[in-house]
Amino acid sequence: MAEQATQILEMNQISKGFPGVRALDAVDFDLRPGEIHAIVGENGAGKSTLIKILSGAYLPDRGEIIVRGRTVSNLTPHSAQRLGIATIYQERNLVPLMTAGENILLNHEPRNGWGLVDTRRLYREAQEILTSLEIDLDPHVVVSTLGAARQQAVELAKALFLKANIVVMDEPTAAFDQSEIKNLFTMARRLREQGTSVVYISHHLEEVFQIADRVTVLRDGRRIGTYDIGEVTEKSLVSLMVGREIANVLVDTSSVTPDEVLRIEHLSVQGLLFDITLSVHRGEILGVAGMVGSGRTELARLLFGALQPSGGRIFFKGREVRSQTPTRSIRRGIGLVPEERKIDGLVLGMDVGKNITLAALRRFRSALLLDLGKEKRSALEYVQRLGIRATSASQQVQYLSGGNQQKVVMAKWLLADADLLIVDEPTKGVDVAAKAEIHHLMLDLCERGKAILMISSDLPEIITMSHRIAVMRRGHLVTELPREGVTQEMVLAFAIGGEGNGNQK
Amino acid sequence: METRNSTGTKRGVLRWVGSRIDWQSQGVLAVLIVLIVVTSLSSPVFLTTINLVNVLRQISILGMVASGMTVVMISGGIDLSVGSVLSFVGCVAAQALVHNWGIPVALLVGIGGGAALGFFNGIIIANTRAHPFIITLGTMTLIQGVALVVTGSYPTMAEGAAFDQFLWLGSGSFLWIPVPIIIFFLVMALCRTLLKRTRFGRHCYAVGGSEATAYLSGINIRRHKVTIYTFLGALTGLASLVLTARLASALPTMGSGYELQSIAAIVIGGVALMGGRGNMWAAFTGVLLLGVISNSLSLLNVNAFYQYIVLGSIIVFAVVLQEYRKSTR
Repeated sequence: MAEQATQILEMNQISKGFPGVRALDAVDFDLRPGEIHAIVGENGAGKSTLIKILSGAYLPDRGEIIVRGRTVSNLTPHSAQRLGIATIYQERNLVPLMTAGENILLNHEPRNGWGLVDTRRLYREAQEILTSLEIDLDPHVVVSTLGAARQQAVELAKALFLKANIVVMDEPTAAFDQSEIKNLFTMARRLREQGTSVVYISHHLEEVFQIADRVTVLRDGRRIGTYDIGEVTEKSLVSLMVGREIANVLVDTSSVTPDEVLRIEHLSVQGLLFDITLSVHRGEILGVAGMVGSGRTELARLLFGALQPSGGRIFFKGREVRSQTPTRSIRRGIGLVPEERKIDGLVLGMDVGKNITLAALRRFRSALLLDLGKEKRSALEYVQRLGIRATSASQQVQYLSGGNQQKVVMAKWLLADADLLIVDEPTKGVDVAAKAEIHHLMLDLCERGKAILMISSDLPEIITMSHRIAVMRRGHLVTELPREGVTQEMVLAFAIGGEGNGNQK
Repeated sequence: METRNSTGTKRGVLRWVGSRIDWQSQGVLAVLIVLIVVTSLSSPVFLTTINLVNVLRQISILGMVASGMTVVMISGGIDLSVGSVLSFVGCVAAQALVHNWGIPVALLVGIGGGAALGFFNGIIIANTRAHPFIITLGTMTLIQGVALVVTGSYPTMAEGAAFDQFLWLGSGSFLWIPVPIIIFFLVMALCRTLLKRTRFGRHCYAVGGSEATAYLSGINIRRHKVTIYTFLGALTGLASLVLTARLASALPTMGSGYELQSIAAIVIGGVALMGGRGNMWAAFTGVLLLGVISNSLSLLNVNAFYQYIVLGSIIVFAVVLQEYRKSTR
């Protein structure tokens, strides 16, 4: 820019809270015309909330948004679009059975004199836009036949057609390979040349250094700072992202035995997981760290039999297991506390007691019928043991708080007597007190000889709770760290591919 | 997010009503009682034992189908083919009787044949991701076609000794109670026990409530789906035998309408269309309500065509109320 251009966008002192969480606390953000501005931060730092406010999906509790010098209030997705703000989410917003051209000009179809759609002009205009972005794509192709990367290209073209001058990309490369990432960068630079500003959110710092002009660091809902890309290094960014002191909870390692409960060798799933080898011991918590989309959840589902491997071997309690299904896994003694407890972990319309006994009903069978009295007593015992706060065991589980719901899911596997518990984000969306209780419960299980594989995005949780830490990145297990001397910076560096392991993958 | 307090008062009232009534049990009962009071005031015949037994006998066949449908719908499924199964199986069983193959063969053909057709539905539904609505819409048409082809669209009339004995199933009595009513109550008792007191029943609620959770809790979803449709098929076959015995003949289209009526009845009673919620009491009150409505309208000399209008209005009203009940949560 020849002169100091005025900001195209200013977000001042934006705050947003959800029940129990302060997602954003007086965050400032600004965008210059024709720049690529990255936002980085740990999971839960507030990146998604900030861009959802920018795209009108959330209303901020406080703060002002100024677009091209004009203060806007009550931003909705519709008015954001009219102001030229286009958001490209991870999930695509295209009509899958329409062609690329029809999608790009959706709701703006050129008409001929009869009021009918002028198809030829539609595809000509679509082609012009695609060409201007250097996208090599036939606008006549049906979108559902395109891969994720090309669908995203169509979305970008659509944003450009709508004369968007602010394009927000949220984790755009999550499902991309190297050449697709390169193409995306070319398109982003094209947009920049045309004067469009790009907000770029990514877990991958190397991408940020390749593409961004400036970078804003968020941590725990606060803005730590905004820097020109030349001012920072990967190392300094990581420490800015983590930055906080952790109260060191002492986790006893005495429960760990050399007895292997689970060992997997060279396990792969086509396109998702690559050559994973690890083991979990009796009395041990193995922490699995990694960013969202690194393959952790797939690993959990795989070990539980809900996803089939394309290669590799699984040994459980010393025996090789071949065909796995959840039914068989449970019988062998594996339990899964899934990440999405409301979808995968609970039957929301059922009561607390019935949810707890769901995986172990076999145990309450007498002749052909269920012994309902015995079932109820058992459920009640676990309600008390885990301190589940419900009005009664017959309260519907949907009315419980997140922490108590999670305890119900845990109770289900305690009752089913699982020897290996796979917990995926065990304390996501639960309050501080319940979090401590769940941590306490996991340690208690270790004392009693159970093994736990704990997946978590919460770095302090990983650091304090794990006896060993496995770090995943893009479907690979990049390293395994001992408990001693591990810092959040180290884990994060491996998870986002900072220095020291740049040649992985 | 913006608040949505500014909606119209009509919405508010409906919502209020929906939240007050435990629709599943009391709502239907209230409508039922009002109906009974009004009808008994305007027709002296209504409250006689003969008429009430008559109502029960009239709903008994629908009730058997509806009981099986309840199990399927709590599991989150639906079956539109029951009417066609009813027709087809009845015709085949009647042929067996006319040919004097004996009553046991007829019973086997009826119940076993119904189960086999249900199994066929279940296998397709369990192994595809297509909605059971559309699959059973297809098999409904398919089975109806087969029934018409096999019978040449002619009814099979009762004749021969075996058939005469068989008629007891439809018009006989045991301890002064008509046999169809006894069978209906036995079927309901069976379904109630299954739903409340067995693993199978618990699996119905879990699969209907959240298939993902049920799967990750070790429930074999496919096997469960095949089982419920087979079970419904067997009950439909049983209902078909009773219907054939009552009519003393089998018609290749005698079952049409049973699919919609059975679904409507149990949804009115409070069985959730989307699965996961419902019980046999709800199914019974729903079926009874339909029976009392049509009985009342007949006693009050209301034109049969208007009965459709009343029935349709009640179904729409019940489902709308159910939705409001859900949204208040």
